[in-house]
Amino acid sequence: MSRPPDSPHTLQQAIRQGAVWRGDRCPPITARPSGYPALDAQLPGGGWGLGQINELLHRPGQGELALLLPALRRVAEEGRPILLVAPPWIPYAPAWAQAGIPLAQLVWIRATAADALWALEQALAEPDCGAVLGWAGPRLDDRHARRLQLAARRGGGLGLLLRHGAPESVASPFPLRLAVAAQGDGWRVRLLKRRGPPLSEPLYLTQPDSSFRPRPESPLPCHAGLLEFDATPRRRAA
Amino acid sequence: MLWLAIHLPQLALDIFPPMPDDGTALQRPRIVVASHGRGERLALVDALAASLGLKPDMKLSAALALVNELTIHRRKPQAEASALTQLAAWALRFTPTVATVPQTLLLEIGGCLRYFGGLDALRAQVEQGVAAQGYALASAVAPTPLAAQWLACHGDGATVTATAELPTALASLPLTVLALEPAPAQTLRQLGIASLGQLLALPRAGLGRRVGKQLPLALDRALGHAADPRDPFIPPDRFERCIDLDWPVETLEVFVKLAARLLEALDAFLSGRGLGVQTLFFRFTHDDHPASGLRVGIGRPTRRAAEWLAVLRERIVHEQLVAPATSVTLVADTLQLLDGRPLTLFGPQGGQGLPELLLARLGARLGQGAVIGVATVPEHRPERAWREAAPGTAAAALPVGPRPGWLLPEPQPLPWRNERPWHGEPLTCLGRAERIESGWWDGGDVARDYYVAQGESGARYWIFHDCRDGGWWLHGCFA
Amino acid sequence: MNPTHPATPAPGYAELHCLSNFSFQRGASSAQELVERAHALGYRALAITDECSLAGIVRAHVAARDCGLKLLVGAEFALADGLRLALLAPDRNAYGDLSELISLGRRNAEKGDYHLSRDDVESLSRRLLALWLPSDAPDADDGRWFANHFAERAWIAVELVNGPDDQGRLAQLRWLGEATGLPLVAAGDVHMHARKRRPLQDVLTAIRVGRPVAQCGLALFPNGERHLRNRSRLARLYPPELLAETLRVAERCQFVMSELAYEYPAELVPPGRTAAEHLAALTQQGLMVRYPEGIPLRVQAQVAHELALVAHLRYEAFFLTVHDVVTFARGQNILCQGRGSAANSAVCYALGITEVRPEDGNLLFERFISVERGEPPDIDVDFEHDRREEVIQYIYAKYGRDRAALAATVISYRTKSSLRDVGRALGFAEDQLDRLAKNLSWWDDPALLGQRMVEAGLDPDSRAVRMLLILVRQLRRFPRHLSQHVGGFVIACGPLARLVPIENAAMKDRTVIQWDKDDLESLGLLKVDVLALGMLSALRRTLQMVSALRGRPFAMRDIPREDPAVYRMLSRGDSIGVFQVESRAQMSMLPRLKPEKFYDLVIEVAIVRPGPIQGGMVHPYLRRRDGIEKVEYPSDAVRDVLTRTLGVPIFQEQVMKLAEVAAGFTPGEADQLRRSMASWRQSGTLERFKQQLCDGMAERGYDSEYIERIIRQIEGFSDYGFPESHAASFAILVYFSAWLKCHEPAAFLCGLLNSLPMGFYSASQLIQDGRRHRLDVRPVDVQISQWESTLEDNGQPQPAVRLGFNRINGLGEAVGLRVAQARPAGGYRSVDELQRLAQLDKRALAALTESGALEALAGHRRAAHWRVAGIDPAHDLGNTDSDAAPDLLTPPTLGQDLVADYRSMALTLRAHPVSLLRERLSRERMHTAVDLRNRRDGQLGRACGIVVGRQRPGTASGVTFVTLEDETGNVNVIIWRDLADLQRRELLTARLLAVYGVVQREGRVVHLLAQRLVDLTGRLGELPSSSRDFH
Repeated sequence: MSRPPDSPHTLQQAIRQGAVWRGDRCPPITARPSGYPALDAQLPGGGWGLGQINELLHRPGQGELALLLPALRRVAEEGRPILLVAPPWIPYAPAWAQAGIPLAQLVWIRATAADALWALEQALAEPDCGAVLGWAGPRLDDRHARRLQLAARRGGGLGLLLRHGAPESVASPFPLRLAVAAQGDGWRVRLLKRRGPPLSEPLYLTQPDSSFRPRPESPLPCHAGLLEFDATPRRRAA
Repeated sequence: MLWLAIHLPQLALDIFPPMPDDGTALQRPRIVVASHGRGERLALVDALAASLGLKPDMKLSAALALVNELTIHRRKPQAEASALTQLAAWALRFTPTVATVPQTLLLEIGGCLRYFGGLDALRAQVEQGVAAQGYALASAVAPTPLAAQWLACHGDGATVTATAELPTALASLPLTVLALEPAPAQTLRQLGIASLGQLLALPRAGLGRRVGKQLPLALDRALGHAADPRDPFIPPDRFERCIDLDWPVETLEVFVKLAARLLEALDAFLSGRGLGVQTLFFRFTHDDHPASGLRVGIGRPTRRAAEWLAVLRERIVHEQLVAPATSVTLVADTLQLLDGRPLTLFGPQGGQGLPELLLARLGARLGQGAVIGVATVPEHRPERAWREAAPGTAAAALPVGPRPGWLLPEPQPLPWRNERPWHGEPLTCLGRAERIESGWWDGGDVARDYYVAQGESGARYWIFHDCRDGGWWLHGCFA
Repeated sequence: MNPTHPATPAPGYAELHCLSNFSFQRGASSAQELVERAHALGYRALAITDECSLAGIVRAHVAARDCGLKLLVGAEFALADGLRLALLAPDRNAYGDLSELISLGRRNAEKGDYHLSRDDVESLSRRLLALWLPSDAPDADDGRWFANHFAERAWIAVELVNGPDDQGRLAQLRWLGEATGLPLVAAGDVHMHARKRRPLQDVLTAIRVGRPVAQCGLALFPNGERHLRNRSRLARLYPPELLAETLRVAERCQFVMSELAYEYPAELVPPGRTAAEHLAALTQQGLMVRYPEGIPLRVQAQVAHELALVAHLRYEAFFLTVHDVVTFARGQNILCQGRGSAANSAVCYALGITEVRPEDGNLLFERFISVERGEPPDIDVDFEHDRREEVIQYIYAKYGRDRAALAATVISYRTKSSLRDVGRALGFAEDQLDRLAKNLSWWDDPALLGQRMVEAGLDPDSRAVRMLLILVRQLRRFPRHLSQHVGGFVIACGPLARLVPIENAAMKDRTVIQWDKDDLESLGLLKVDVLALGMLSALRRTLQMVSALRGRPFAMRDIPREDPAVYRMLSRGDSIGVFQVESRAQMSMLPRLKPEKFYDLVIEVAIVRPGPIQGGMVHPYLRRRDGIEKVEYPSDAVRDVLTRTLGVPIFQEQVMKLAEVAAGFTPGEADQLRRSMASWRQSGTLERFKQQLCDGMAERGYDSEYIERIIRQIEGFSDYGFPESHAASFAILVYFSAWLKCHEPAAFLCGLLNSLPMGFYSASQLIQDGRRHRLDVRPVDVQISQWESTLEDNGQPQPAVRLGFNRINGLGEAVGLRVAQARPAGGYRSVDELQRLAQLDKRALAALTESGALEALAGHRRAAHWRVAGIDPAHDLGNTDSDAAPDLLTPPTLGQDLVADYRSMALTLRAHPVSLLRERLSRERMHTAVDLRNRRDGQLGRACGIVVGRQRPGTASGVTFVTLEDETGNVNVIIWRDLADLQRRELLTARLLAVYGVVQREGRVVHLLAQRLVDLTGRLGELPSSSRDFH
C-alpha cells in the first residue's frame, strides 16, 4: 500500500490531526470530514468526531451506510481497517467493493448481543482501527455507554454507533447524536446533540454518488468525447 | 564400521493411512500414481492390485480399463521425504550416525552393538520399531553403506560382516538395486549385463568410459575399496521446553506467569533466525490425572512473547486446569519463516494492515469464525457472489448492476397487498428488471427478476420476482 | 413489474445479430434450429452473423430456402483496436467485400483466430451495412468513425437482454445516437434458438475459457435472454421505432446465396479454340494412344455420347482441369488413378485419368452424370501418398493462391469428444472421464450410455450424470473446428476470396476455404479431389524395380489383364498386401466369392462394406452366385438395374436407379435420397423417403415382402453405401497389385516395405507372408543395405529382399543415406571407420547397433555395443579403445536377439518367437495355425500366438476379431461379447495369447470360436507388441 495521502508532515500537524496521543491531556477534538459540506459546517471540528462515539439514530435501509461512505472511503484510502461489529445483516461484499471500500480492510465481527459490546469496546480502544461501526438496539445501559465512550477516546479512531428505534430524547454520554431519514434522493438529518449550540432546523443532504443507493433516474454513464459523465462499471457482454 | 540398511519398498503407499478394515467391506486395491508426461502412471501397487494384474509403470488409464474399483493415491514425494526424516529422527535413539537415501535409512551400528545386546537384538528392535510405525521394510547388514543399501533393496535380509565376503554376497544381485539413471541402465542392458557379478567382472576403466565414472566409483565404495563419507542426519528444528515444578500450579494466573517465561525462551530461541510459530502447545502433567494440553494459535507466524501472551490471556478466559499441574511443557512443532515481515522495535507500523493482535484477541474470545472478512466471488447468483474470507483477503470489485450494502441471510417472502409487494409499507419497483438466470449445474438454478424497490418511508430494498413460482422476495437493503 | 402484461400486437421484426454454432464455443444452436425457430416466431428475416466466419452460412441458406425465411448474410467482428460490429451484405458485391474481409482477418492470424483493425474494415466498407455493437462504456468518437465510413449504412445496435440497467442502457445509446447521428436499431445478440439451450451455452463458455462451469463465474451470461424471443415480448422491451428499423435494414439486404456463380479457370483452353473443341481433340489423341490398333466402334460411340453430354452441361473445363493435373503427375512420374462418378467414363480413360477400360464394365456414363439431376460431376484423383504434395504445389503455382484453395472439413463433436468436453465442464474428474471414454469405444450404441455409466461407477440417476447425458446428446454433431479436406481443391476464375472466405490451415502454407464439400455441393460449386493413396506409391516402386529386373520400362498399362493365375491366387484368400482385399473380412470373402473376372473384383470391393453387410446383401448374393438360390426379378425394369449383381442391390447407384424405376422417384428426388442416406439415422429425413418408396413401389405392383427387403437394404446403405464408380477404380488397383504379388512377389514386398505405413499389415506381417511364399528376406547390414529395402540377385527366379536402414527405429534418413554412400567398395573395416566416414553420432551408432546391422562388422550385438559405447564421437581419437572386453560378454541367446530385433525394427528374421516356445506349447497340446486349418468344423481347437490384430467392427454386433500369429501362419479368432466382457483383461493386454475354443469352418475359411483366453505374455520376456490395438 502506498503512503497514506495525508500522513502528517510535521509534529504540529500530527498533533492537530490527533495522530499523536499526548498522554496526560485530553485529546483535542479532531474530526474527519463527512464528505457533505453542509453537514460538516454544523459538526464540531468540521466532521465526524474522532476519539468519540458518533451516534446515529436511523431505520435500517434508509441510506445510513451511504451517508457514512465518504468518510469510510477516506479511512480505507489511508490503509486503515474498518470494523463492523455485529451488523444487522450480511455486509454484501459486491456492494462494498463497488462503493470503493477495499475488502481487505473490512472486518466483520459476529457476536451475540452480550459479546458485541465487549468486542466493540475492544475495537474502539485499538489505536490501529480506522473506523469502528457498532450496532445497538433501543436500550443501551449507561454504564456500557460510558465504557464505549472511554474506549473510543483511548483508541482515537472514528467510532460510529448506529441505533435503531432508540428514543431521541434520552440522555447519553456520547457527544454527538443525529437522526437520519431518507428523503428523496438523499437524507433529512437532524442534529439532536452536539458540542456547542443545538441546531433546530433539519439539514437536507443529497447523495453525491450512487454507491449503495441506486438512482435509476440518474444521468447516464457514458464516455462521450467532450462531455464528461462518470462511468459506473457495467457488466461487460462477454 | 557396520551398517544396517532399512529399505522401505512401499513407502509411497505406506504414507497414506490404510482404509479402516471393518472386516465386512471389500478391500479395494490401492495404487499410487505419479504424473508422467501428459498422463499418469502407476508408481506403486499393493498386493491386491498386483494380483489383479496392475504393475508399476502402467498407464493409469490402462489400469482403470482392467480394474474399476481402485483406491488411487497421488504420489506425494514431500510426504515421503518427511516420513523418512521422521524415521531417521526416531532412529537416532540407536546410533548417532544415521543417513538417509531415497526409500532407505542407513544406520551405522558398529559402535552400539554391545549396548543393545548384539546385532540380532538391535536389528530386531529397529525392524519392529519401523514396522510398528506402519511401514513395510526389508533390511540388510554390511560393512559398507552402499552394500547394505543394495542388499536391503534386494530384500532377502542378508547379513555380511566382513569386507572380504562382499564380492560374493553382491554378485547375485540384479542391476535394479543400483537404481541407475536410464542411460547407463540402457547401455548395461544392451551389453547383456544383468547381475552385479557380471558388472564387477568388467574392467573398471572401460566401464567408466562407457557409462560414466559414477558407477565404477560406486562399485569401489560398495566393496570398501573407496571411502564413502556420509552426511550425518541432522534433526529438524523444533522447540520443546519443560518447566518442572516443586509445587503444582493450581490457577491459570500462575500458569500465565510460567507461560511468560517459556514464551520468552521461545522468543530467544527463534530470534535471529527469522523464524516464528503459528501454533503452540502447552502440555501439562498431573499427579493423579493423565496429561492434558492446551493449544493456542494466532493468525500469522510470530515469535514475540508479548503477542503470544496477549492471545493466551484471551484464550484461557473460558478454560481451566483439569487438575493441578506438576510440569508445563511448551512445544512448538512447526517453525515457520516470518514471511518476510519485518518486526520493528516499536511493533507494527501504524496505519498499515490489520490490527492482528486485536483480531487475535477477539477471535480467541468469540471463537474462530466470528472475526472474518468478506470477499467477492465472480458468480451471477447474488447469494453466491460473496463469501466469508480470512480478514485481509483482497477481492476485486465486480462489474455488476445495483447491489445493496446489506444482504439478507435468506431471501424473505414478501406478501402482496393492493397489487404491490409489501414490507411494512407498499413497495414500488424502480426501473426495469435485471434478470438473473444461472446455476443449473449445481442444483441451485435460479430464474429471478431483480428490482430496486422503494417504500413510502424512502427506504430502498432489493427485491426479486421468482420467475418459476411467481413469488416476491426481499433479498437486501440499500442502506 | 407486473407479471401480467396487456396483450401487445406483435410487431414485425427481423433479427440482425445472431450467432450459429459455427461461432465455435459461443453459438449454442445450429443454423437450422435458428432459421426454423425464427420462421415459427414470424420473424420477417434472420441474419446469421457468425464471428468472422461464413462457415455456417450455406447450411443456413439451405434451411431458410426450405422453410421460406429471408436470410441475411453477415458476420460479427471484434476488432483488434477495440470495436465490435456486425456487417451485413446487401448485395453480391458487398458479399464479396465481406468474404474478402473475413479472409483478410483469418489470413492475418493463426489457424482458428483472426485479426482485423479499423483500417482493414475501412478498405472494404463501401458497400456493407454495419451495426455498431457498443461496449458498456461507449465512446462517441467510435460512433463517428462508423458515421464517416458507413455513411447512411450504419446503425447502433440496441441489445436489451434484461441486463443490470436496460433503461439506462437505452437512454445511453439514445444519447449516443444523437451525438453521432447514427440511427438506432433493435437487435438480440442471439446465441441460441431457445431459452432451454442456456445450459449448453454455459457449457460452451466453459469449454472456451477452459474451466468447469461452476468456476466460470462472470464469463457466463447472467441469464438466458440471448435467444430468439417472441415478438410480443420484444414489443414490451423495445420502443416500436427500433423494431420497425430492423425491417428497413432487412429490406436493404437483397443478396441471396444462390446468386453465387462460379466460373472455371480459362487458361486451359488454347486461344482460338472452344473448350469443347479442345476436350474433343485431347480425347481423340488419347484414344489413339490407348487403341493403337484402331478404336473399337463401341468405344468411339461411347465417347461421342459422353462428349455431347459434357458439352450440354458445360463441364468441359472441369474435365480439362483434371486432365491438366493428371498430365502434370504423369510428367513427374507420379502414379495416379481417378475415381468418382465421372472418372470411369470413356473420356477419362482416353485422357489417362483412369485405367478402367470402357469395355471392361457395363458402366453407363449417365449413371454418373445426368442431365436431369444437374449434379456436378465428381472426379477424385488418387496420387502416390508420398508425392501428392508435389501435385498440390503445382496447383497452387499454376492458379495462384488467391484462386486455388482446399475445401474445409467440418470436424464435429462425437460422443467421445463431447463426453470429454461436457464432462470437464461439469467438473467430472479426469479419471472418471477416462473410464467413461474407455467404455465408450466406437462400438457402443450411444443409447447404452446410461448402462456404461453404472459400469464406470457413476450413478446414472444422479443429477450430474443426467445433465451430462442430456448435454452430451445436445453437443454431439456440433461443429468443433474447421480442418482441411483431404484434398478437395476449389479453383476459381477470379479471386476465390470474393466467393468464399479463405483461412489458414494447420499445415504451413496451406489455405482452406470455409465451406466443406456438402456446402459446395449445395451451391453447385465444383471441386477437384487430389487425394493420397499409399498403394500407388507401392505400385510405382514395385514397377520401377520390375523395370530394372527386366531391363525395360514396365508400367501399369503393361500389366496383362484377366490373368487366371491372379484370380486363382485371390480365390485362395492369399491377398496380404493386395490393395483393399487384404483385410480379414475381405480375405475370408475371397474364397467364397471366387473372383474370376474384373467385374467380380468390383463387387468384392463393394460388398465387404458395412452398408451391404447390414442390409443383408452379402448372403443372398453369394447364394445366387453359387446357384443355391434362383435369380429372380420382380419386373423388367428392376432386371435392367440389378442384373449385373444378380438381383441384389450392391452399389449406391443401383439404389438410386431402383428408386427411380421401381418407385417412380424423379432423378432429383433420387439424388436427395442419396444425400440423406449419408445421414439417415441422424436427421430422420429418410422417413419421408421411406414412405415415398413404399407407396411408389406398392403403386407399381411390387409385393410387400420385396418392398420390405429393398427398404431394409437401402437402410443398410445409410451407413456406407459404395458407388460402383469408386469400386471399379479400386478394383483395377486390386487387380494390378494382385498381379504383382502373384508374378513379382519380391519386388512387390520391397515396394510395400518402402511405402509403409499403409494398408493393414506391419512390416513384420508382410515379411512373414513373404517368407511363407519362400521369399529370401535378408537382414539389415551396414555392409550391404541401402536406405530403402532393395532386391539382391541370388541366382533364384525371385531375387532376395535386402531390408533397408529405413526399418530401424530412431535412425534418420540422412544418416541411413550417409552410411550407404560413404561405404568403401570393400565395406567398412571397423566400427571406428564406419563412425568416421559416415559421421555418426552416438544416437545413430546406438540405433544401428541395436538393430543388429553391425553383426557382420563387429560380431554379436553385445560385443558391438561394447565397441560402440567406447567410441567418443566428440573427440575424434579413432582407435583409442583397445580394451576389448568381448570375452566377458556372453553372446545373446536367440530369444534375447529376438527381443532386440523387435525393439529396434518391430520384426525379426531369425525365428518366429512362438517357435521358441513351441516345444512347451506342443506339450500343452496347442495347435499351430496350419494344424488348425486341417481340423474339422466343430472340433475343439487350441491356438497360441502373438496378438497382431484386434478389431471390433461396427457391423459385427459385439464381436471382437483377434488375429494370432505363430510361426506357421495366422489364426483368426472370434470372441463374443460375453467372453470379451468376462476376459476383458486378457483381451486387452495380452500380447501372447492362448485361445481354447471350437473350430468353425466354411469352405476354406477357418475361424476359432473362443471359449477361454489365457494370457501367456509372461513367456515372451519383454517382447514388444507390434499389434494394431484398438485403444
